[in-house]
Amino acid sequence: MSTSIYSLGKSNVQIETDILSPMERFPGKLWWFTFTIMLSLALMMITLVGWTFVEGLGLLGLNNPVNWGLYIVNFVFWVGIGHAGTLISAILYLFRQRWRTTINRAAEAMTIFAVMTAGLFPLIHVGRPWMVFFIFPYPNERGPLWVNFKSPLLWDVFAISTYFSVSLIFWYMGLVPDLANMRDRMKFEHVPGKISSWGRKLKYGFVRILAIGWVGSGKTWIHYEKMVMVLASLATPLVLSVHTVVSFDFATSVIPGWHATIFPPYFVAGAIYSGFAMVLTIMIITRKAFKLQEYISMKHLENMGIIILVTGMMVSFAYTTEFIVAAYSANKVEQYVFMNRLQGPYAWAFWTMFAANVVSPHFMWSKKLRTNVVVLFLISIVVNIGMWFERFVIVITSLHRDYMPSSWDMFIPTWVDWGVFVGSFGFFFTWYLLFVRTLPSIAIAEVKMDEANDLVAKELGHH
Amino acid sequence: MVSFKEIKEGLFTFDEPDKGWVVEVKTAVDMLKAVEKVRKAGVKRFDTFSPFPVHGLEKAMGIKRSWLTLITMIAAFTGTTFALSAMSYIDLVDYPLNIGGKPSFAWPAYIPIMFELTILFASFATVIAVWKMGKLGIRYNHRRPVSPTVTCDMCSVWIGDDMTKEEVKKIVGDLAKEIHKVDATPTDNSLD
Amino acid sequence: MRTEKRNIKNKNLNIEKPVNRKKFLAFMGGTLGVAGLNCARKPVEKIIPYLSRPPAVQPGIATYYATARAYSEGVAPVLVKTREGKPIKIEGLAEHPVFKGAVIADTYATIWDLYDKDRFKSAMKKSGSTFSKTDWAEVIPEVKKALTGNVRVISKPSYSPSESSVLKKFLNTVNARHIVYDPSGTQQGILTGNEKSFKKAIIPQYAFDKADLILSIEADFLGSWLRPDIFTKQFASRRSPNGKMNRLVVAEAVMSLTGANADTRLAIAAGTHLTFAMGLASLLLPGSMLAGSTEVKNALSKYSPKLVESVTGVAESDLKNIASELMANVGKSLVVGGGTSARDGQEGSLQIVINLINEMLRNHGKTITPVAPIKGSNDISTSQELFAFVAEMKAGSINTLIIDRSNPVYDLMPLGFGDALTKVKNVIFIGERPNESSEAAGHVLASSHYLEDWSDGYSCGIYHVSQPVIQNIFDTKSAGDIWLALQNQPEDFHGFIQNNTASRYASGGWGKLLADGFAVVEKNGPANMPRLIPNAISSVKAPDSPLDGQRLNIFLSVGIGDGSAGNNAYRHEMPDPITKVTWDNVLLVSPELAKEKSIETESIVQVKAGDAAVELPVVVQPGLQKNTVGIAFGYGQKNMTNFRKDLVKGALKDNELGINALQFAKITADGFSYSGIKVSSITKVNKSYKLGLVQKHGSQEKRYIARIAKLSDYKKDPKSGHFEHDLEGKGLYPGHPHPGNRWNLNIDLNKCTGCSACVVSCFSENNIPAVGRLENWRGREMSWIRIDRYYDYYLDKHDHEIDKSGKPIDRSKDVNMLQANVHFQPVTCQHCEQAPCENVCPVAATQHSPDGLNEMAYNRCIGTRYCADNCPYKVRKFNWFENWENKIKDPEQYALNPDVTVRSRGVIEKCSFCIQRIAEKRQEARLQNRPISEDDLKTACEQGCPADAITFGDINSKDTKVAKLDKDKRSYKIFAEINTRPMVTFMSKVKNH
Repeated sequence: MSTSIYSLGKSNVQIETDILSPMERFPGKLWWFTFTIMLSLALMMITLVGWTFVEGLGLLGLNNPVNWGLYIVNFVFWVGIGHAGTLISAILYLFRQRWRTTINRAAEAMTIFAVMTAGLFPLIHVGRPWMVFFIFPYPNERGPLWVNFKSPLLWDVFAISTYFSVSLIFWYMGLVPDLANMRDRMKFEHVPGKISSWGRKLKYGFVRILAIGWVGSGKTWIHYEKMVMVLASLATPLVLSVHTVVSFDFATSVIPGWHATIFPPYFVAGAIYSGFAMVLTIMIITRKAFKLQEYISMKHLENMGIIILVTGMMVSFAYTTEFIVAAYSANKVEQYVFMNRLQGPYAWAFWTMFAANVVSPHFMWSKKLRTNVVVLFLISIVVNIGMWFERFVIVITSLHRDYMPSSWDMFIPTWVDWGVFVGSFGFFFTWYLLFVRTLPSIAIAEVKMDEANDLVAKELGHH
Repeated sequence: MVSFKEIKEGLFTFDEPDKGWVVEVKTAVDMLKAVEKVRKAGVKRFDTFSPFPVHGLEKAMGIKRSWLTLITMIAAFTGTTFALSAMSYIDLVDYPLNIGGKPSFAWPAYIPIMFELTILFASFATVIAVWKMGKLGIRYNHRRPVSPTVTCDMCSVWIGDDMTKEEVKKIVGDLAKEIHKVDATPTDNSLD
Repeated sequence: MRTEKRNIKNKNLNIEKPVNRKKFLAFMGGTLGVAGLNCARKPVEKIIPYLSRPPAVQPGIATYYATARAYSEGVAPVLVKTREGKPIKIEGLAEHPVFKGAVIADTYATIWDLYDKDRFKSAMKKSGSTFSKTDWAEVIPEVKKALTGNVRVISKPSYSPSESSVLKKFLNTVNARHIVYDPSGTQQGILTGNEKSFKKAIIPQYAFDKADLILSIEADFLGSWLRPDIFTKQFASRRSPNGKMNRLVVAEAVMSLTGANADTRLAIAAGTHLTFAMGLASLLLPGSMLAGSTEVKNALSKYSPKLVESVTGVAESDLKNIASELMANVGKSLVVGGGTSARDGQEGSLQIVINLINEMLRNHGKTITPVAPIKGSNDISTSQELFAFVAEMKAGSINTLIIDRSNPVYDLMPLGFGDALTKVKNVIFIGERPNESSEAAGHVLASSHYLEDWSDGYSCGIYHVSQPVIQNIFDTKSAGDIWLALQNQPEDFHGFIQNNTASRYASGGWGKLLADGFAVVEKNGPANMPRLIPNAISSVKAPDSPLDGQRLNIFLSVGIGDGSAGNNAYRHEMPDPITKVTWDNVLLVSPELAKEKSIETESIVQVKAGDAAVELPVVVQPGLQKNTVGIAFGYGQKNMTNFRKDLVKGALKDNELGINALQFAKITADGFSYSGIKVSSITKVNKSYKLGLVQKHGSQEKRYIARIAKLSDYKKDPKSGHFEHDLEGKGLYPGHPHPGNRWNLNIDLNKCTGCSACVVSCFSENNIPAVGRLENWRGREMSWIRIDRYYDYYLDKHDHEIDKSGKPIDRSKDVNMLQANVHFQPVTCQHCEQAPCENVCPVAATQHSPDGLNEMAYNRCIGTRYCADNCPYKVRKFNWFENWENKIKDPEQYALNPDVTVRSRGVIEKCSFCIQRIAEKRQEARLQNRPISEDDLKTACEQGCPADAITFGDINSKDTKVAKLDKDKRSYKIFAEINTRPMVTFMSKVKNH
């Protein structure tokens, strides 16, 4: 192949200057402004959670039929967000999708932070958080009393923690060459910016340690390339497994509206859908803020737009199947639950979801629209709202009217519910903002590699 | 059938450029050509340094393949077996319970956890192996590249054998942009 | 239980007379709490903490004492469970010939009245406007000084012969007069009526178990009319569809518990019950033995079925059917009527008509007998006497008024008692806890709870003694002791009862009496009523033209009654059986009216009637005629304001709970009018209100949860009622063996009346917290057994009828809200063999025991609430807040059952099949090495059920009652198709029509 549409034709020095220089400057007003807001939101969440620890979960709007509320909705939502990153870096890598190169770093970072945010919720939604260590199976003096390996919630513990740790090392190993690059750049080149000498020393120290002595040896590169391949192929089934297991929380229960065999693929599709929407949102902001339009080109955005269209239709297909299965099941309870989604007290949530998830992606058919940044941005936001409501519909409308009509009730979120929900965004973006300021949000080495390999291919004619 | 020898070769490690010559070249292409020459000249100890992986490097360096995957596989099986045996021991021997009328050994319920542990073990083993074989780790954080811009845009070939500059020139010819001597892996103690 | 009782009995039997009190105490073992008190008693009578343990009291082993609760509505024989000297649970006295162990929610709840922190801690004395503690030594003489001039004593009816006689003595010594009033008007109505009809004012003995056909006109005999405990027992004993099942017809305005259990319920317009009764009588008259009497004919002739239809709204045909049915059951039927909602301004008039009808049906002497009456003598003042008395007070001619354990300021509010009281110079109050009347008093003589002190009661021909089972917790005296003290009697009430009364009634001796708790004096049985005076009917004036506009009925609620014991969180926490409302009384309106005024449940309306204009919440209640609204009284009292703030948060008024319905009541020339009060306007107010409603949805959505069949269908096919055959899945796994015992609970929906006694019994047994109205509004009630109430609306048919092809017939066309069928279904943890809750708990906090229990390990639970989500029956309750620590005030904690863990915040809890009782009995059985037999093991709900609807036992051994019931054709499991395999079996209801 000759130089692809993605090749930049930039010198290596140019590339790393473009990517690294923004974070060598002192953060601008805009960054500080957003950072302050997000941090305070995060702090608000922490305060509210602390309050529920002291007073009890009664502060939330939960009740007997609806024992799981916004916390679980948020959990599933954030886990979903956390899918795009590893998906991009792993699956697109296996499929040799070159356009992943410039977005995978930020996407993976997003994954890490999203999973961190998601991981909070199962821990803070239990009645006795101080006893939460009971869910870890380790030899103990309580019998020894072990956990229940038959519980989907326990599978979650394993799935989420594995997913988090594997994504983390994958991301970090990807960073190592760039860290080495930063290390040497800080050492030998004059780095502009207002960072004080001790500040630079400190930063340099950290970077040097994190670079774990990477010197770009060919032999190491060969192992490294193999490792990336291996991790990618391990992460691919992992990504699919995580939301599958999350869907088991619902699918293996007996509750109508939860108990559905279509859930695993349906949840994974939904996760990719919301994940890409979030990547799109973040990328559009990042490329604007750090002037990376050349690296994250309209073509990249368009590709993501197309993926949103595809996964969006997959999700719509899943919705339809659910209803058909319910109609076909001849199970009164099941049928009631789905009719209740359409016209029950929470119908507004369902129709919001419908408009956002089923209708909105179809704008992506038009080239004109999917190459329009503003449209893409709006759609990505809308899709995320829709996906949050999808989880709301699944969790709450199924619970609030299940088998026992005598126990039917409404779930009315309190302001604590909402506060924690908003706060979770603060938590997520606080981390993301710190990331873009401290680490290269584009994989420098990989960009360079693609550039170089174009030439290699050209001259030696093999690849 | 792969021979044990091949596997052993496949688990080659990075050896520190202690002393010898560093040939700096212009592009990745030149590097490939140069290293091929070096190998053909029968040099025993050599390596390349580049800011990014270059396609066709194995071929040029005469390395058949990396057997990293073997480690991954072993770790993966360990993970599976560990998960299954641990859960069966706990549910059958150590603390059997009647949960939901299911038998104590309800293997279908174990599948998710077995899967997750497989992945966990495999990926961590892989990464650790790369650290070992690439001599990476926090304790190596003082290590510096053979020349300042190697991690930025400079590609270079290191020759560890005991030979004169002329001999090196002879081997690489005009591919060399610059040739300089190294006595040991440069380190950086500026902060301590 | 029986075994402990025997022990005591034997001990009592081999006591040598004379029993000295100290020796008696040694085995009575009532102790703990404060010692030293009171001068009036001889020092030797102090109850002292024992130095050496009396044989009857063994730590960890419960001791049971037979005693009785003698109160203004009657006598309730009970068995009190005490642990380490503290009473913790009230249970039925199975040996009692009349009650047969029947106890209702109200009596179960009295255990918390005992440990009520708001009780008077000592005698009080008013200085200025505030009360100050004082000593009996100084208060008694002061009160004596006040006993000059016109002295009056006002109290509720008394069932205690000893109290009456000491009181009588007292009245003579200070030549005072005694006024007795009946807040609910039930007893007064019957007595006045019978006085007129028979010249004998008694409340006779009713035999609901002998009647094949029961007609009740406004009388809620299963809920609040006279003795619901006896009547429920009798009624339920005839509710087995095999054999001759009785039939209940109810004509009432507002849906009552009895109406809910009716096989045929005729909704009449509020205030027209008399017309209905007269119409019925006139239909029965021809051919009856009274056909000859012209007065009767003249009195009744007017009330043709046509007129009755126009006035009451009951179709002519229905009335005629009832009449012919009654005629077909001469001597085998029972017609009752009256109660608060029949208090229509002419005391006793309904009773007169009822008597006439029963006479014509020859029921007198068969289902209604004068021997062993519920209440013998008429010591209840007539309305006229009450009017006169209040007039006296207003005139200021009364010097001293002693208010004895009652609250006339509230109960007699329509008479303006409160204002009249200000004219009385000295007001002395005797009672347990503050109320409106005590606030008006100058001296308060703190009386003790019936579990603390001596009293007795005579009812149903049986003499009951109520013995103290604990030393007085506070510095209080029994009413009897107070009366004696006020007439310088050296003797104490205990002695008085033992020497005077008991010796008269109890032939078996004092020891036996204490062991049994009662002594049969006269046996009930067939005997003729006094001769009826038919002419009495001519005084009855029933409305003969439709009542105009909206009409209001004030009725007695099952939970709160007249509200005198309203200061008890559990009485409020127990949902009203019909409306499922907690912590409030509401305006019940018909669906039609609601639609017209566009109001719905929970919205606030303003009701104008006479000069009262009140805002209160609404509950839309099917089974009411459009022009009928109803409201329960007993609420809105001062003594209901002392709860923890978090329990009553958000109440309509902040200084009282609910609305005082008596503001609407009227006074007529000859009585109180609580029925058919004209409402001038009902207007919606734009206020949001959070009503503590524990069940928000009334229909069972054709899910066949509470199953029902018509008797005729049942006779054809016992399996009718199960309209879907239950698919029992095979499942993937073989399942676990259950050797030895396997516990199973059987609930007969046909016997269950929904009275909620089991709920309160469970509250008390399992330390279930009261969470208050806002939490209930959220849907966070904690009760382990709840009674679901479902409606269906198909003209005298039921929801589940099927056509030839076995498909349910859709009757949504002929919905008739008036004809609401009510189904009650107690739901506990189903203890599923394949429990969905167990599978999902990540920490294995809930798992299955070999004897088939779904066990909950509170200490292991981290509160993911996944189990509660995954429970199809929604019986798992989560502790959203800390319910005990810092919330429970001394001495409330003594009511807790030491055998049951008090659950902390953040854990799930649920019904355990009373595992503590199983463990206790298993232990006992092991010691005597024998298997557990089913009759020594009863769960709290089983024991609590006055209708014997609940059976608990071992389903593994084939010959137990549950095992047999499980085989019954009516038995089924709810949601069998989920393949959870519950261990709770329900038996479908059979409607007799």
